[in-house]
Amino acid sequence: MLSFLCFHSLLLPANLISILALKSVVNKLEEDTLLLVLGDHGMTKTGDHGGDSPEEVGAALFAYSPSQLWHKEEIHTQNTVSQIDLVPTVALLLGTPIPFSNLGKLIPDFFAFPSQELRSISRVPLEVKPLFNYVCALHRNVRQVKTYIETYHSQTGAFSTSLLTKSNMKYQEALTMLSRITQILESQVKITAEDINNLKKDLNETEKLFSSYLILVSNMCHEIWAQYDDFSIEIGFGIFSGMLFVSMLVLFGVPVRMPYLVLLQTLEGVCLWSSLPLFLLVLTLLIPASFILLKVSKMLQRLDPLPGRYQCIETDVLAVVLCCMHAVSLTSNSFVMSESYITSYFANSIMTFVFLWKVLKKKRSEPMLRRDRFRKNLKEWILFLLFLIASKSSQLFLSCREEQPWCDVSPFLKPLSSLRLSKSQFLNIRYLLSGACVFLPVIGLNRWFRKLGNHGVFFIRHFSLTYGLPLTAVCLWMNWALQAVPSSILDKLPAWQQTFLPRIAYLMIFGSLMSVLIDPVCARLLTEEEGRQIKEAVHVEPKTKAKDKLPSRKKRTTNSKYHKSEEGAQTDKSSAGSINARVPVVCGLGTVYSSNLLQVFISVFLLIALLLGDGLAPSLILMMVQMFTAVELKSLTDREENQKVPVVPVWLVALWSMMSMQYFFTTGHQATIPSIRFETAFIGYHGNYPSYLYWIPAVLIILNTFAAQVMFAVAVPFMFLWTLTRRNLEEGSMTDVPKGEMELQLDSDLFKKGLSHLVLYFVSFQALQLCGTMLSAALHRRHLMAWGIFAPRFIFEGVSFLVTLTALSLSCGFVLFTHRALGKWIDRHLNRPV
Amino acid sequence: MFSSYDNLKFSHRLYNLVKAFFIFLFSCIAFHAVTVLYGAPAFEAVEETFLFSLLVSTLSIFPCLLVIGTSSAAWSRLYFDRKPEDETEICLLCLVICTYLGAWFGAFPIPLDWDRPWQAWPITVCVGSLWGHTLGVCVSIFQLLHRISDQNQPEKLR
Repeated sequence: MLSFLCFHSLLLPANLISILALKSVVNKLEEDTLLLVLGDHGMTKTGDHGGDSPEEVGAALFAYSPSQLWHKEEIHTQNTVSQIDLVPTVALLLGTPIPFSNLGKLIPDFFAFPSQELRSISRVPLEVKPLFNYVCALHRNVRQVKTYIETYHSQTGAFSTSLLTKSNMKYQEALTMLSRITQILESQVKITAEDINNLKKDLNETEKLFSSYLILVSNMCHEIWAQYDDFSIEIGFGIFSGMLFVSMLVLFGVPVRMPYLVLLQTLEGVCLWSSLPLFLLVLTLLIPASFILLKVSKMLQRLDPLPGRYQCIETDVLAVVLCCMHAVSLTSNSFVMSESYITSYFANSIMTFVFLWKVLKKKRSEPMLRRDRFRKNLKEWILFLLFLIASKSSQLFLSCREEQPWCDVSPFLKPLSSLRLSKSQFLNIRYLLSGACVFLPVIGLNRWFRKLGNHGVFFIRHFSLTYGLPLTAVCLWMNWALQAVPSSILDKLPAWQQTFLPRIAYLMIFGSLMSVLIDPVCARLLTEEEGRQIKEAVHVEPKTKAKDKLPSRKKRTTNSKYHKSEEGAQTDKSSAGSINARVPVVCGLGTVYSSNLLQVFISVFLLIALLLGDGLAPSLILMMVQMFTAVELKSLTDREENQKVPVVPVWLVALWSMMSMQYFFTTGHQATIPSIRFETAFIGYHGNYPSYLYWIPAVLIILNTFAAQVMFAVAVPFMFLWTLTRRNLEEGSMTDVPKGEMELQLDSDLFKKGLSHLVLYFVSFQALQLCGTMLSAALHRRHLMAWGIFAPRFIFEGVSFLVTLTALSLSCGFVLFTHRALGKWIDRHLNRPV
Repeated sequence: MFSSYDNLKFSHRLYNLVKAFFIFLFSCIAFHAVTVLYGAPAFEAVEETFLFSLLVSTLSIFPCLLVIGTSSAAWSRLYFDRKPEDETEICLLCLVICTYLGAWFGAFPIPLDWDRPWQAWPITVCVGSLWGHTLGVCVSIFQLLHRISDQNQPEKLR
């Protein structure tokens, strides 16, 4: 019988106490029990562990058995043993075969006394018994290792043949010696003292041969074990971080100079290596690389800075510093493990700082009592608190890592059918909540379109808005009800009944996306009759509630003569009240970009809600709340600045990228391979996928895993649009109709510049994170947790970066597509000759 | 400031005292709420979290109540506009900002897997805010020294 006790580290006082507690355990042990107390790794004095310093690699091993285990003299004992040596030792002591892929060597001390079967060979003289016993056990060990190595070599051809033959020769030599020894022992001749001495010498020789065989093999394995192409790592990291560095410099308006780049590359070289020759090689390679970076920076600089230079720099610096801290924190395994909390902590910090520093400061010029200020700032306070509350409640949806045994799985992440037995009340609440969370955005979208006059353009668009998306929501809700049915009943249903609800949802979402592409201008030119009615209404009651009589808020554009010479003429006309019957009236131009994007966003939301399952729908709503509060607070701050085309502040982009990471975790994911939800692949599909459809499960699983990244990337243009959009929602007199998003059409150049800057900023922040994970994976390539923590984190970040890029380019491309279509539309409808 | 305070009527002083007490209490609750929103456990260790918020209030709000009193205009000038009027207020601003920064940095060691007993919730943040407060005191001393030296040698600066 074997009993194990594992300690994190035997250095700590708390563990020393538990070692004292061992005394009581030891007293109760049976004769045939071996007690092993061991640490999985050591620890440095500062508490670091997992690295490859001697302190961290070493750990204590304590073995105890009531029966005698070893002779002091017979076998030379080792002071240190390797951890892999425990496997064969324990296996043989328990009488089980040594595991196939073992590479460890028996710990000699445990085999000094023969086991039952060997005790029966009484011919072995007492003096050589322990040694003989150990050599026999070692022989088994070596045989197993040899089988493993040969099998491995035959499948991979990994080892060099010369080394293999050399090791084989050693093995053969040892075998012949062993057989000679056994011959002597089995022969009936009486064994003399001289024989015993010879036997001892032979046995020692055999033992040495076996040991050297094992050492040779383990060296052979070390050579091919976890090899890294350090040079490629350095080059890849150098190029990536160099690009990132340069684009950051350009974005912040710092002139790019050669010394910076060389300094950066040198730092990297020092960081990754300390060996000089390789370092010099890298330097010679990286000087041309620096030239390339310089060229790239020149190209980037051609995107000249926006006219309304952004003022408040403290918030930006803080946001960038926090993002950098996050990227650096990824090099620590405990920070990676609790990243779900860290991202939300950082997002809250950015928000709090911006709120205190910028939002409350904005009316500095006018002295005010605190009470008045509070009343004026009530909206900002509410938004700020809403952000924090959403951020905190989103933590209800966290899932657990394997390494965190104390963590409970969130009840929102368990499948509905499993909840049926235990908490029926919670089941109902969760189901109703998720229903509300799906219906609310769809209803909101419809109201938005009605209120802002984007409704009712083309048949297909109208259909998908009024029927398509609500139908999707219904399908989602019913599908989740189906999930609550016990699987035994569910499996009895025909396949089509299990899949038709999600399939309708997919179809409708696809239809909605297509309808936006087919008819990207959701503005309506009113007929002359309608136009006249509206104008009269405005004319009769210019200051009263004329708006209520209008089907929607209007955006008036002047006729061809005045269109190009823009706003001055237009406002003159309307304020003078000289209403020209020929001025066409258009519904919904003020929100023409955002309503399109909003429909796309809601469609994507429905798709992702379907894939994530019912429990996580509230988390998606919280995500939208956080997005909204962030952009709303931003547009409240720059209301005073009153630029035509808004500039997106850096802190908002940083916050956006931080939140996208935060919601990766709060949509129930972790950056580990086992936590990927593979069951997503079968939403709306029954049975096995044929090979030509393998891309479908891949897409579905990626959409599920990177749900937050997709949502945030799709919503990126809102950061830009929202300031303009909300002007339509504000109260204003009819004579001063806000132009809303038409500003973008009027100043097309500025719009494109602004959008490209925004995209660059966002990609840079994403790249910063990726850079952090690259660095941590490179630095910790020999770390204990390299494959458990750092490598998966790097892979997840890499895929997330690609997914973000794809979604971002699609959504920005879509906004540009709307922009072009709108230009054409205006040419066709408004600029025709009168 | 204290001379003007002495001239006030007793009832007014009592009113100010009560008001200050309620401001302090409110700030404790507000800090508790913010701590929870920042990620402290909401339902466990409530007492510890409240003690932490009490500490932060004592380090940041209490000195302010002592120095600038309960006038909302002065508070708003100092914190929302960050326009300190004299040296004491500069020190106050330093103290408050450093205390919060210290508490913020104090949260960093919590997730580390060092298995130290002092990593338990609120110890690190409490120590952090105390360190921050100490740093604030030092910074404000240097600030004062700097100011005084500036005032003593006006011609040299020009």
